[in-house]
Amino acid sequence: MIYTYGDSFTYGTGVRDNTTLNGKLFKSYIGQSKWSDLTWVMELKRLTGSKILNKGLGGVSNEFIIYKLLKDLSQFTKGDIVIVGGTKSLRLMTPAGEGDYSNSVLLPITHDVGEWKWESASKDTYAFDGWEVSKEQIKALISYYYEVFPKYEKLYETVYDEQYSGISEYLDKTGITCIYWDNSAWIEFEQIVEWTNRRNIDGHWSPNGHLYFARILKFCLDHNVRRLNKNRLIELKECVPMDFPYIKYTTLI
Amino acid sequence: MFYLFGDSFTEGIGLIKEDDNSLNIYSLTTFDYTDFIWPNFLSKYTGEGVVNLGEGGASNHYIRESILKSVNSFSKGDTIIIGMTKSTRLSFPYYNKVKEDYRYIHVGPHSIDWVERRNKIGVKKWVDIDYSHMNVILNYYTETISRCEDYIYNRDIELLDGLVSLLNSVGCRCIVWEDFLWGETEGIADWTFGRLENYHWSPNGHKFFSTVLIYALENNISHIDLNAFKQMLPYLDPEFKRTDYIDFKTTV
Repeated sequence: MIYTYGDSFTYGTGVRDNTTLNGKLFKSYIGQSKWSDLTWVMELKRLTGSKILNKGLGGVSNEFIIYKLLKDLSQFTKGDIVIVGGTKSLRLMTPAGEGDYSNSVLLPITHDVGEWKWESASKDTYAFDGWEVSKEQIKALISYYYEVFPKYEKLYETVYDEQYSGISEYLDKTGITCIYWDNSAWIEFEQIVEWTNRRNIDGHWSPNGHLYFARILKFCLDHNVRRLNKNRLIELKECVPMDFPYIKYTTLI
Repeated sequence: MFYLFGDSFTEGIGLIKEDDNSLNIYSLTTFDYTDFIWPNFLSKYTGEGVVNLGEGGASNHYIRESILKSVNSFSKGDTIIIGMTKSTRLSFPYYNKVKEDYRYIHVGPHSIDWVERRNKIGVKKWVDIDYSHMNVILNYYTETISRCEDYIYNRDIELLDGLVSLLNSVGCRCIVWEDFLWGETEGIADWTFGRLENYHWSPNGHKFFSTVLIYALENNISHIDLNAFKQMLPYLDPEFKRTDYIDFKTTV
Protein backbone atom coordinates (compact mmCIF):
# COMPACT_ATOMS: atom_id res chain seq x y z
CA MET A 1 0.00 0.00 0.00
CA ILE A 2 1.23 3.51 -0.78
CA TYR A 3 0.20 6.38 1.52
CA THR A 4 0.69 9.94 0.34
CA TYR A 5 0.77 13.00 2.62
CA GLY A 6 1.13 16.65 1.78
CA ASP A 7 -0.73 19.76 0.67
CA SER A 8 -2.53 20.71 -2.57
CA PHE A 9 0.35 19.36 -4.72
CA THR A 10 -0.36 15.93 -3.28
CA TYR A 11 -4.11 16.38 -3.27
CA GLY A 12 -3.96 17.28 -6.98
CA THR A 13 -5.45 20.76 -6.92
CA GLY A 14 -5.93 22.18 -10.38
CA VAL A 15 -6.07 18.80 -12.06
CA ARG A 16 -8.11 16.50 -9.87
CA ASP A 17 -11.35 18.42 -9.53
CA ASN A 18 -12.62 21.79 -8.48
CA THR A 19 -11.24 22.61 -5.06
CA THR A 20 -12.09 25.31 -2.56
CA LEU A 21 -9.14 26.61 -0.58
CA ASN A 22 -9.64 29.36 1.96
CA GLY A 23 -12.84 30.31 0.20
CA LYS A 24 -11.16 30.62 -3.18
CA LEU A 25 -12.29 28.32 -5.96
CA PHE A 26 -9.47 26.53 -7.80
CA LYS A 27 -10.96 25.16 -10.98
CA SER A 28 -9.96 21.93 -12.52
CA TYR A 29 -8.50 22.82 -15.91
CA ILE A 30 -9.14 19.42 -17.34
CA GLY A 31 -12.86 19.73 -17.85
CA GLN A 32 -13.31 16.06 -18.70
CA SER A 33 -13.88 13.53 -15.99
CA LYS A 34 -11.86 10.86 -17.81
CA TRP A 35 -8.77 13.03 -17.39
CA SER A 36 -9.36 14.00 -13.82
CA ASP A 37 -7.02 11.32 -12.52
CA LEU A 38 -3.95 12.82 -14.17
CA THR A 39 -2.32 13.49 -10.82
CA TRP A 40 1.06 12.11 -9.79
CA VAL A 41 -0.68 10.02 -7.15
CA MET A 42 -2.87 8.23 -9.72
CA GLU A 43 0.01 7.91 -12.15
CA LEU A 44 2.22 6.37 -9.48
CA LYS A 45 -0.57 3.90 -8.80
CA ARG A 46 -0.48 2.91 -12.47
CA LEU A 47 3.33 2.78 -12.58
CA THR A 48 3.70 0.63 -9.46
CA GLY A 49 0.48 -1.38 -9.56
CA SER A 50 0.03 -0.67 -5.84
CA LYS A 51 -3.06 0.44 -3.99
CA ILE A 52 -2.77 4.05 -2.95
CA LEU A 53 -4.37 6.17 -0.26
CA ASN A 54 -4.06 9.91 -0.83
CA LYS A 55 -4.11 11.93 2.41
CA GLY A 56 -3.08 15.23 0.79
CA LEU A 57 -5.13 18.32 1.67
CA GLY A 58 -4.96 21.80 0.18
CA GLY A 59 -3.62 24.72 2.23
CA VAL A 60 -2.27 22.71 5.13
CA SER A 61 0.91 23.45 7.06
CA ASN A 62 3.91 21.24 7.78
CA GLU A 63 2.73 20.92 11.35
CA PHE A 64 -0.60 19.57 10.11
CA ILE A 65 1.06 17.15 7.68
CA ILE A 66 3.25 15.83 10.51
CA TYR A 67 0.14 15.62 12.69
CA LYS A 68 -1.68 13.47 10.10
CA LEU A 69 1.40 11.33 9.62
CA LEU A 70 1.96 10.74 13.34
CA LYS A 71 -1.72 9.93 13.81
CA ASP A 72 -1.55 7.26 11.12
CA LEU A 73 1.77 5.67 12.13
CA SER A 74 0.08 2.64 13.68
CA GLN A 75 -1.67 1.82 10.37
CA PHE A 76 1.51 1.29 8.40
CA THR A 77 2.90 -2.20 8.03
CA LYS A 78 6.19 -3.59 6.77
CA GLY A 79 6.43 -3.19 2.99
CA ASP A 80 4.21 -0.10 2.84
CA ILE A 81 5.42 3.03 1.10
CA VAL A 82 4.85 6.48 2.60
CA ILE A 83 5.42 9.55 0.43
CA VAL A 84 5.49 12.87 2.25
CA GLY A 85 5.47 16.24 0.51
CA GLY A 86 6.57 19.13 2.71
CA THR A 87 4.98 22.52 2.20
CA LYS A 88 6.07 26.13 2.74
CA SER A 89 7.24 26.63 6.28
CA LEU A 90 5.23 29.86 6.39
CA ARG A 91 1.93 28.13 6.85
CA LEU A 92 0.37 28.03 10.23
CA MET A 93 -2.42 25.90 11.63
CA THR A 94 -3.79 27.55 14.68
CA PRO A 95 -6.50 26.33 17.02
CA ALA A 96 -9.49 28.65 16.97
CA GLY A 97 -12.95 28.70 18.37
CA GLU A 98 -15.48 30.48 20.49
CA GLY A 99 -17.42 29.98 23.71
CA ASP A 100 -16.11 27.05 25.69
CA TYR A 101 -13.70 26.16 22.88
CA SER A 102 -14.81 22.56 23.09
CA ASN A 103 -15.44 22.64 19.37
CA SER A 104 -12.11 24.17 18.45
CA VAL A 105 -10.92 23.75 14.91
CA LEU A 106 -7.59 24.10 13.20
CA LEU A 107 -7.56 27.28 11.21
CA PRO A 108 -5.08 27.16 8.32
CA ILE A 109 -3.30 30.48 7.86
CA THR A 110 -1.51 31.11 4.58
CA HIS A 111 0.10 34.11 2.91
CA ASP A 112 -3.23 35.65 1.92
CA VAL A 113 -4.86 35.64 5.36
CA GLY A 114 -5.03 39.45 5.29
CA GLU A 115 -7.19 39.29 2.15
CA TRP A 116 -9.74 36.88 3.53
CA LYS A 117 -13.23 38.28 3.66
CA TRP A 118 -14.43 37.76 7.20
CA GLU A 119 -18.12 38.33 7.77
CA SER A 120 -19.64 39.39 11.02
CA ALA A 121 -21.25 36.31 12.60
CA SER A 122 -22.34 37.90 15.88
CA LYS A 123 -21.48 40.93 18.00
CA ASP A 124 -18.05 39.58 18.91
CA THR A 125 -17.22 37.03 16.27
CA TYR A 126 -16.38 36.81 12.62
CA ALA A 127 -16.98 33.88 10.34
CA PHE A 128 -15.13 32.74 7.27
CA ASP A 129 -15.56 29.58 5.26
CA GLY A 130 -16.96 27.60 8.19
CA TRP A 131 -14.67 29.04 10.86
CA GLU A 132 -15.99 31.30 13.57
CA VAL A 133 -13.35 33.30 15.37
CA SER A 134 -13.38 36.22 17.80
CA LYS A 135 -12.23 39.63 16.64
CA GLU A 136 -9.39 39.55 19.16
CA GLN A 137 -8.21 36.22 17.80
CA ILE A 138 -8.16 37.50 14.24
CA LYS A 139 -6.20 40.58 15.28
CA ALA A 140 -3.73 38.52 17.32
CA LEU A 141 -3.12 35.90 14.71
CA ILE A 142 -2.80 38.36 11.83
CA SER A 143 -0.14 40.37 13.73
CA TYR A 144 1.61 37.15 14.70
CA TYR A 145 1.47 35.82 11.15
CA TYR A 146 2.73 39.01 9.48
CA GLU A 147 5.00 40.60 12.09
CA VAL A 148 6.78 37.66 13.68
CA PHE A 149 6.28 34.39 11.86
CA PRO A 150 7.95 35.33 8.50
CA LYS A 151 11.15 36.39 10.29
CA TYR A 152 11.66 32.81 11.36
CA GLU A 153 10.96 31.15 8.01
CA LYS A 154 14.44 29.63 7.65
CA LEU A 155 14.34 28.33 11.20
CA TYR A 156 11.01 26.68 10.66
CA GLU A 157 12.40 25.08 7.48
CA THR A 158 15.16 23.49 9.56
CA VAL A 159 12.74 22.49 12.31
CA TYR A 160 10.36 20.71 9.95
CA ASP A 161 13.14 19.23 7.85
CA GLU A 162 14.55 17.58 10.97
CA GLN A 163 11.14 16.27 11.98
CA TYR A 164 10.41 14.83 8.52
CA SER A 165 13.88 13.29 8.35
CA GLY A 166 13.46 11.75 11.82
CA ILE A 167 10.13 10.15 10.89
CA SER A 168 11.41 9.06 7.50
CA GLU A 169 14.58 7.39 8.84
CA TYR A 170 12.67 5.68 11.57
CA LEU A 171 10.00 4.35 9.19
CA ASP A 172 12.80 2.96 7.03
CA LYS A 173 14.13 1.14 10.10
CA THR A 174 10.77 -0.58 10.50
CA GLY A 175 10.68 -1.81 6.90
CA ILE A 176 8.42 0.97 5.64
CA THR A 177 9.83 2.90 2.69
CA CYS A 178 9.49 6.64 3.19
CA ILE A 179 10.27 9.29 0.60
CA TYR A 180 10.24 12.91 1.69
CA TRP A 181 10.16 15.68 -0.93
CA ASP A 182 10.14 19.36 -0.08
CA ASN A 183 8.39 22.31 -1.69
CA SER A 184 11.39 23.18 -3.89
CA ALA A 185 9.78 20.67 -6.29
CA TRP A 186 6.88 23.02 -6.97
CA ILE A 187 8.78 25.05 -9.56
CA GLU A 188 10.70 22.13 -11.04
CA PHE A 189 7.75 20.76 -13.01
CA GLU A 190 5.39 22.32 -15.51
CA GLN A 191 2.80 24.49 -13.80
CA ILE A 192 -0.75 25.30 -14.91
CA VAL A 193 0.25 28.92 -15.54
CA GLU A 194 2.71 27.97 -18.30
CA TRP A 195 0.62 25.03 -19.53
CA THR A 196 -2.35 27.33 -20.15
CA ASN A 197 -0.11 30.02 -21.61
CA ARG A 198 -0.94 32.31 -18.68
CA ARG A 199 -4.67 31.98 -19.13
CA ASN A 200 -4.88 30.57 -15.64
CA ILE A 201 -2.50 32.03 -13.09
CA ASP A 202 -2.12 28.95 -10.96
CA GLY A 203 1.22 27.59 -9.74
CA HIS A 204 -0.03 24.05 -9.21
CA TRP A 205 1.27 21.38 -11.57
CA SER A 206 -0.22 20.73 -14.98
CA PRO A 207 -1.02 17.12 -15.96
CA ASN A 208 2.47 16.99 -17.55
CA GLY A 209 4.02 18.19 -14.30
CA HIS A 210 2.16 15.48 -12.42
CA LEU A 211 3.02 12.70 -14.88
CA TYR A 212 6.69 13.60 -14.83
CA PHE A 213 6.85 13.89 -11.05
CA ALA A 214 5.29 10.41 -10.77
CA ARG A 215 8.13 9.06 -12.90
CA ILE A 216 10.71 10.77 -10.70
CA LEU A 217 9.11 9.13 -7.65
CA LYS A 218 9.07 5.73 -9.35
CA PHE A 219 12.79 6.17 -10.04
CA CYS A 220 13.35 7.04 -6.37
CA LEU A 221 11.53 3.89 -5.28
CA ASP A 222 13.54 1.74 -7.70
CA HIS A 223 16.88 3.30 -6.79
CA ASN A 224 16.54 3.74 -3.06
CA VAL A 225 16.38 7.56 -3.11
CA ARG A 226 14.69 8.69 0.09
CA ARG A 227 15.05 12.48 0.11
CA LEU A 228 14.19 14.86 -2.70
CA ASN A 229 15.44 18.41 -2.46
CA LYS A 230 16.13 20.93 -5.20
CA ASN A 231 19.62 19.67 -6.09
CA ARG A 232 18.58 16.04 -6.12
CA LEU A 233 15.59 16.85 -8.33
CA ILE A 234 17.78 18.67 -10.85
CA GLU A 235 20.09 15.64 -10.98
CA LEU A 236 17.21 13.19 -11.35
CA LYS A 237 15.55 15.21 -14.12
CA GLU A 238 18.69 14.60 -16.17
CA CYS A 239 18.35 10.84 -15.95
CA VAL A 240 14.59 10.26 -15.81
CA PRO A 241 13.00 10.62 -19.26
CA MET A 242 9.64 12.28 -19.92
CA ASP A 243 8.44 9.10 -21.60
CA PHE A 244 4.81 10.05 -22.04
CA PRO A 245 3.03 11.98 -24.79
CA TYR A 246 2.92 15.68 -23.88
CA ILE A 247 -0.64 16.69 -23.04
CA LYS A 248 -1.55 19.96 -24.70
CA TYR A 249 -3.94 22.27 -22.87
CA THR A 250 -6.02 22.69 -26.01
CA THR A 251 -6.52 18.98 -26.45
CA LEU A 252 -8.39 18.84 -23.20
CA ILE A 253 -10.78 21.77 -23.38
CA MET B 1 18.76 2.25 28.56
CA PHE B 2 16.12 4.77 29.62
CA TYR B 3 15.48 7.84 27.47
CA LEU B 4 13.50 10.49 29.33
CA PHE B 5 11.55 13.28 27.66
CA GLY B 6 9.50 15.97 29.32
CA ASP B 7 9.66 19.38 30.93
CA SER B 8 11.08 20.72 34.22
CA PHE B 9 9.66 17.79 36.21
CA THR B 10 11.88 15.49 34.16
CA GLU B 11 14.86 17.82 34.04
CA GLY B 12 14.74 18.14 37.84
CA ILE B 13 14.23 21.91 38.09
CA GLY B 14 14.27 23.08 41.69
CA LEU B 15 16.87 20.50 42.75
CA ILE B 16 19.46 20.73 40.00
CA LYS B 17 21.91 23.64 40.06
CA GLU B 18 21.38 26.34 37.47
CA ASP B 19 23.07 29.58 36.38
CA ASP B 20 20.56 31.50 38.47
CA ASN B 21 19.98 29.65 41.73
CA SER B 22 17.65 32.27 43.22
CA LEU B 23 14.50 30.28 42.41
CA ASN B 24 15.75 26.86 43.48
CA ILE B 25 16.68 25.41 46.84
CA TYR B 26 20.30 26.55 46.63
CA SER B 27 19.15 29.96 47.73
CA LEU B 28 18.35 28.26 51.08
CA THR B 29 20.80 25.41 51.49
CA THR B 30 24.35 24.33 50.87
CA PHE B 31 23.38 20.67 50.91
CA ASP B 32 23.61 19.13 47.46
CA TYR B 33 20.29 17.63 46.32
CA THR B 34 21.15 17.38 42.63
CA ASP B 35 21.12 13.57 42.75
CA PHE B 36 17.71 13.41 44.40
CA ILE B 37 15.71 13.47 41.20
CA TRP B 38 13.58 10.61 39.86
CA PRO B 39 15.82 9.79 36.88
CA ASN B 40 18.59 8.96 39.35
CA PHE B 41 16.29 6.97 41.65
CA LEU B 42 15.06 5.03 38.64
CA SER B 43 18.59 4.36 37.41
CA LYS B 44 19.72 3.17 40.86
CA TYR B 45 16.72 0.86 41.24
CA THR B 46 16.93 -0.72 37.80
CA GLY B 47 20.71 -0.57 37.33
CA GLU B 48 20.15 0.86 33.84
CA GLY B 49 21.62 3.99 32.30
CA VAL B 50 19.51 7.11 31.83
CA VAL B 51 19.61 9.80 29.15
CA ASN B 52 17.66 12.73 30.53
CA LEU B 53 16.39 14.97 27.71
CA GLY B 54 13.87 16.88 29.81
CA GLU B 55 13.85 20.65 29.36
CA GLY B 56 12.29 23.19 31.70
CA GLY B 57 9.24 24.96 30.22
CA ALA B 58 9.02 22.56 27.27
CA SER B 59 5.73 22.21 25.42
CA ASN B 60 4.30 18.92 24.19
CA HIS B 61 5.19 20.02 20.68
CA TYR B 62 8.84 20.39 21.72
CA ILE B 63 8.76 17.05 23.54
CA ARG B 64 7.48 15.32 20.39
CA GLU B 65 10.13 17.01 18.31
CA SER B 66 12.88 15.94 20.75
CA ILE B 67 11.70 12.34 20.46
CA LEU B 68 11.67 12.53 16.67
CA LYS B 69 15.18 13.98 16.67
CA SER B 70 16.43 11.18 18.93
CA VAL B 71 14.63 8.20 17.40
CA ASN B 72 17.73 6.98 15.65
CA SER B 73 19.58 6.64 18.97
CA PHE B 74 17.03 4.18 20.36
CA SER B 75 17.65 0.44 20.24
CA LYS B 76 15.46 -2.59 20.79
CA GLY B 77 14.89 -3.03 24.52
CA ASP B 78 15.21 0.66 25.39
CA THR B 79 12.51 2.30 27.50
CA ILE B 80 11.25 5.73 26.53
CA ILE B 81 9.54 7.68 29.32
CA ILE B 82 7.52 10.63 28.12
CA GLY B 83 6.26 13.21 30.60
CA MET B 84 3.44 15.21 29.06
CA THR B 85 3.20 18.83 30.05
CA LYS B 86 0.38 21.37 30.01
CA SER B 87 -1.19 21.37 26.57
CA THR B 88 -1.34 25.16 26.50
CA ARG B 89 2.39 25.66 26.20
CA LEU B 90 3.80 26.94 22.92
CA SER B 91 7.40 26.52 21.78
CA PHE B 92 8.85 29.11 19.49
CA PRO B 93 12.18 28.63 17.67
CA TYR B 94 14.95 31.23 17.59
CA TYR B 95 18.52 31.15 16.38
CA ASN B 96 20.99 30.81 19.20
CA LYS B 97 24.19 32.63 18.22
CA VAL B 98 26.30 30.91 20.87
CA LYS B 99 25.20 27.37 20.04
CA GLU B 100 25.04 28.20 16.29
CA ASP B 101 21.83 26.26 16.06
CA TYR B 102 18.18 26.82 16.74
CA ARG B 103 16.75 26.57 20.23
CA TYR B 104 13.29 27.19 21.60
CA ILE B 105 11.66 29.63 23.92
CA HIS B 106 8.73 28.08 25.67
CA VAL B 107 5.66 30.23 26.19
CA GLY B 108 3.07 29.43 28.82
CA PRO B 109 0.78 31.21 31.26
CA HIS B 110 3.83 32.13 33.35
CA SER B 111 5.44 33.99 30.43
CA ILE B 112 3.21 37.06 30.44
CA ASP B 113 4.16 38.13 33.98
CA TRP B 114 7.73 37.12 33.43
CA VAL B 115 8.14 39.25 30.31
CA GLU B 116 6.43 42.21 31.98
CA ARG B 117 8.71 42.00 35.01
CA ARG B 118 11.84 41.74 32.86
CA ASN B 119 10.61 44.59 30.68
CA LYS B 120 10.18 46.82 33.75
CA ILE B 121 13.79 46.34 34.81
CA GLY B 122 14.97 47.35 31.34
CA VAL B 123 15.67 43.97 29.73
CA LYS B 124 14.72 44.44 26.10
CA LYS B 125 15.10 40.92 24.81
CA TRP B 126 14.01 37.43 25.70
CA VAL B 127 17.01 35.42 24.58
CA ASP B 128 17.41 36.73 21.03
CA ILE B 129 13.83 37.82 20.52
CA ASP B 130 12.92 41.50 20.83
CA TYR B 131 10.11 42.33 23.21
CA SER B 132 8.07 43.89 20.41
CA HIS B 133 7.96 40.41 18.87
CA MET B 134 7.51 38.81 22.23
CA ASN B 135 4.38 40.86 22.87
CA VAL B 136 2.89 39.75 19.55
CA ILE B 137 3.75 36.12 20.38
CA LEU B 138 2.19 36.46 23.84
CA ASN B 139 -0.93 38.07 22.42
CA TYR B 140 -1.26 35.26 19.87
CA TYR B 141 -0.73 32.80 22.70
CA THR B 142 -3.39 34.41 24.90
CA GLU B 143 -6.01 34.72 22.17
CA THR B 144 -5.62 31.31 20.57
CA ILE B 145 -3.51 28.60 22.19
CA SER B 146 -4.41 29.25 25.84
CA ARG B 147 -8.14 29.04 25.07
CA CYS B 148 -8.12 25.67 23.40
CA GLU B 149 -6.61 23.46 26.08
CA ASP B 150 -9.01 20.51 25.68
CA TYR B 151 -8.66 20.51 21.94
CA ILE B 152 -4.87 20.63 22.04
CA TYR B 153 -4.75 18.02 24.82
CA ASN B 154 -6.75 15.57 22.69
CA ARG B 155 -4.49 16.27 19.72
CA ASP B 156 -1.38 15.79 21.90
CA ILE B 157 -2.69 12.43 23.07
CA GLU B 158 -3.42 11.30 19.50
CA LEU B 159 0.04 12.30 18.34
CA LEU B 160 1.78 10.62 21.24
CA ASP B 161 -0.21 7.44 20.60
CA GLY B 162 1.09 7.47 17.03
CA LEU B 163 4.67 7.96 18.17
CA VAL B 164 4.37 5.29 20.84
CA SER B 165 3.06 2.75 18.33
CA LEU B 166 6.05 3.47 16.10
CA LEU B 167 8.48 3.07 19.00
CA ASN B 168 6.78 -0.15 20.11
CA SER B 169 7.03 -1.55 16.60
CA VAL B 170 10.83 -1.49 16.80
CA GLY B 171 10.96 -3.07 20.24
CA CYS B 172 11.13 0.03 22.43
CA ARG B 173 8.92 0.19 25.45
CA CYS B 174 7.15 3.47 26.26
CA ILE B 175 5.57 4.92 29.34
CA VAL B 176 3.61 8.15 28.98
CA TRP B 177 2.66 10.03 32.14
CA GLU B 178 0.45 13.09 32.35
CA ASP B 179 0.94 16.41 34.10
CA PHE B 180 -1.83 15.89 36.71
CA LEU B 181 0.84 13.97 38.64
CA TRP B 182 2.62 17.24 39.41
CA GLY B 183 0.25 17.93 42.27
CA GLU B 184 -0.05 14.38 43.58
CA THR B 185 3.04 14.40 45.74
CA GLU B 186 5.23 16.68 47.82
CA GLY B 187 6.49 19.89 46.26
CA ILE B 188 9.42 22.07 47.30
CA ALA B 189 7.09 24.65 48.89
CA ASP B 190 5.77 22.10 51.42
CA TRP B 191 9.15 20.51 51.94
CA THR B 192 10.79 23.84 52.80
CA PHE B 193 7.83 24.85 55.03
CA GLY B 194 6.85 27.58 52.62
CA ARG B 195 10.26 29.19 52.53
CA LEU B 196 10.50 28.76 48.78
CA GLU B 197 7.43 29.17 46.60
CA ASN B 198 8.39 26.47 44.14
CA TYR B 199 5.93 23.77 43.23
CA HIS B 200 8.36 21.41 41.55
CA TRP B 201 8.89 18.16 43.35
CA SER B 202 10.96 17.87 46.51
CA PRO B 203 13.39 14.92 46.81
CA ASN B 204 10.49 13.01 48.42
CA GLY B 205 8.24 13.92 45.51
CA HIS B 206 10.88 12.66 43.08
CA LYS B 207 11.33 9.49 45.10
CA PHE B 208 7.58 8.89 45.14
CA PHE B 209 7.35 9.45 41.42
CA SER B 210 10.13 6.93 40.82
CA THR B 211 7.99 4.35 42.67
CA VAL B 212 5.06 5.22 40.38
CA LEU B 213 7.25 4.51 37.37
CA ILE B 214 8.68 1.33 38.81
CA TYR B 215 5.14 0.11 39.51
CA ALA B 216 4.19 0.95 35.91
CA LEU B 217 7.26 -0.86 34.58
CA GLU B 218 6.60 -3.96 36.66
CA ASN B 219 2.90 -4.07 35.82
CA ASN B 220 3.13 -3.22 32.11
CA ILE B 221 1.27 0.07 32.40
CA SER B 222 2.10 2.17 29.36
CA HIS B 223 0.03 5.28 30.02
CA ILE B 224 -0.31 6.81 33.47
CA ASP B 225 -3.49 8.83 33.29
CA LEU B 226 -5.66 9.69 36.30
CA ASN B 227 -7.49 6.33 36.25
CA ALA B 228 -4.30 4.27 36.04
CA PHE B 229 -2.82 6.33 38.88
CA LYS B 230 -5.89 5.81 41.11
CA GLN B 231 -5.67 2.07 40.54
CA MET B 232 -2.01 1.90 41.52
CA LEU B 233 -2.32 4.28 44.49
CA PRO B 234 -3.09 1.60 47.14
CA TYR B 235 0.25 -0.03 46.32
CA LEU B 236 2.25 3.18 46.56
CA ASP B 237 3.39 5.35 49.44
CA PRO B 238 2.49 8.98 48.72
CA GLU B 239 2.81 10.04 52.36
CA PHE B 240 6.20 8.41 52.77
CA LYS B 241 5.10 6.23 55.69
CA ARG B 242 6.95 3.19 54.41
CA THR B 243 10.05 4.89 53.04
CA ASP B 244 12.69 7.05 54.63
CA TYR B 245 11.54 10.63 54.45
CA ILE B 246 14.23 13.00 53.23
CA ASP B 247 14.31 16.07 55.47
CA PHE B 248 15.14 19.51 54.20
CA LYS B 249 18.59 20.45 55.50
CA THR B 250 19.85 23.97 55.20
CA THR B 251 23.51 23.09 55.70
CA VAL B 252 25.68 20.03 55.23
